[in-house]
Amino acid sequence: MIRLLFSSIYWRSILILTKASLIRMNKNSILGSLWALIQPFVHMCVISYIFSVLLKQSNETMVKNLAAGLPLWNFLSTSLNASSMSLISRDNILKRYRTSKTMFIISDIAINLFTLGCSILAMYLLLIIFYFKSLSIIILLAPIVIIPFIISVLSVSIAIGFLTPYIRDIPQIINLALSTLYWSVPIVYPYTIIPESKRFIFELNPLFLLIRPMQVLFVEQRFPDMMHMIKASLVMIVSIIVSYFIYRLLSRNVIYYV
Amino acid sequence: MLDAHIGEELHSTKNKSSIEISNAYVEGIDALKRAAGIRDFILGKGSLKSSAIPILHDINLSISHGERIAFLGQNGSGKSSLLKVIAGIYPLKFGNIKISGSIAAIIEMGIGFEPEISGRDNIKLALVYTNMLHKYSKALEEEIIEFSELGEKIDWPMKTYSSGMVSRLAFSISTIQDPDILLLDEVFAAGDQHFLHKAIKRMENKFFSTSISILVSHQHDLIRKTCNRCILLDNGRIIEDGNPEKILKIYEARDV
Repeated sequence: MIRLLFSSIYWRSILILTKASLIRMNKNSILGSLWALIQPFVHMCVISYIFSVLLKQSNETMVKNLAAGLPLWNFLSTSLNASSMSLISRDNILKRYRTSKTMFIISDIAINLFTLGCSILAMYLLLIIFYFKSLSIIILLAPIVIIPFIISVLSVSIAIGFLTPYIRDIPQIINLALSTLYWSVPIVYPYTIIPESKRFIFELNPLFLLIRPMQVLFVEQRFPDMMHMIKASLVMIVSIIVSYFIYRLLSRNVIYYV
Repeated sequence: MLDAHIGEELHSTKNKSSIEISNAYVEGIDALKRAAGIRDFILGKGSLKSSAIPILHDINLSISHGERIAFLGQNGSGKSSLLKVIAGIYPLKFGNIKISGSIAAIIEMGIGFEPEISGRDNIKLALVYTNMLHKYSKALEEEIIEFSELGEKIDWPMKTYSSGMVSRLAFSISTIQDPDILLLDEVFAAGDQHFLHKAIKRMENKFFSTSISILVSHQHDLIRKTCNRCILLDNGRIIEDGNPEKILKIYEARDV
């Protein structure tokens, strides 16, 4: 598998699979992929409007916090769900061709990565429209700051893709876990409202450690501290190692279970 | 030009093509005994742990250059599974398999086509599935389009194709490969009446010119016409191995 990651044909294959899936997804839509930009933009505009006009609260921190966390959370959630079905839904192909199985999982994640890119673009637009005066150009570094997060999601997704054929309840378990964990990460509430004495609990949550650098970038308008990036990178390394072992353990016989 | 290049590559390895399988044992899972989820398990509709079932056992097989083999047997005897073991789709639980030469397995044509994208894009998709993307070129693409006789319709979404057109494209892509070992599972030709003659001719050429060809089929006439060795399987074991005429007689006698 590691050898494949350095093969240009492998990545070209993923690109072809992703392109085909994107066309299938947007088959009945006039605006097509533009919806990936419009949806989060409208969603965040409504939230900003409710806070600033209806509730007459200048809750800039809250909106910026959401703008940083929501696209990442949606990427995590859709990627884990999609990867759980990646191999099962392609049983016909896998049982007839000797082909790489990971490329199907990665292509499913690539579609979500495209949506994440559009969402972040939508958040930039939103911040420019509503908070132009307090914006720093540093927020353009978001794609760099979220690298550990993306690689972690990708590795966990590969593990889930290979795990689900063996344990068919994985999609339900993922949904339950995500709906619970959603409240354990400060996305709909700002980190600043958490009492100092309780913050160490959040530091034990790997999802928080992965999302935190992006929140620092958007909310505090500065590049995350070295410590933030090291913690996120450590979570990434652990995710890669654990996922690789799951892959090694399950990939050989997965064909009998899909 | 491209064909000639591939041909040269093949020529150098083709005489060394071989398949050696010793003491092979393949185990699958009994999906019927497995609970579809925790709810079914609680309701007593199956077990959480998958139970293993043997698919192939005691397979000892040696195949060398020039052999055109038919796997014969009733449904569920293990013919397709053995073909998938050779193709590398099914791993062995025990035993050894050693293969020299490149493999092309045509198990079912047209699987994995995306109806929303054009025939041209589906060519690339099919090359991805068959690990042939590295051989993709405009010339290869044109060769496939020309053989399929789809003309300008190749740029139409595949959902607009008739079933005959889909079969023609699937056949043209599947048979573009020039392997050392050709594996066919119940597939010999496809397409509408007009295309069928051309398809049979191409497949016969492939079958006879490939170093090792293996066919899973129930068509006795086809086996007699194309193969020089026949292997009879029953309950996942090889029970007879010999010339097609002899094995077909044994099989026909058992079948009665």
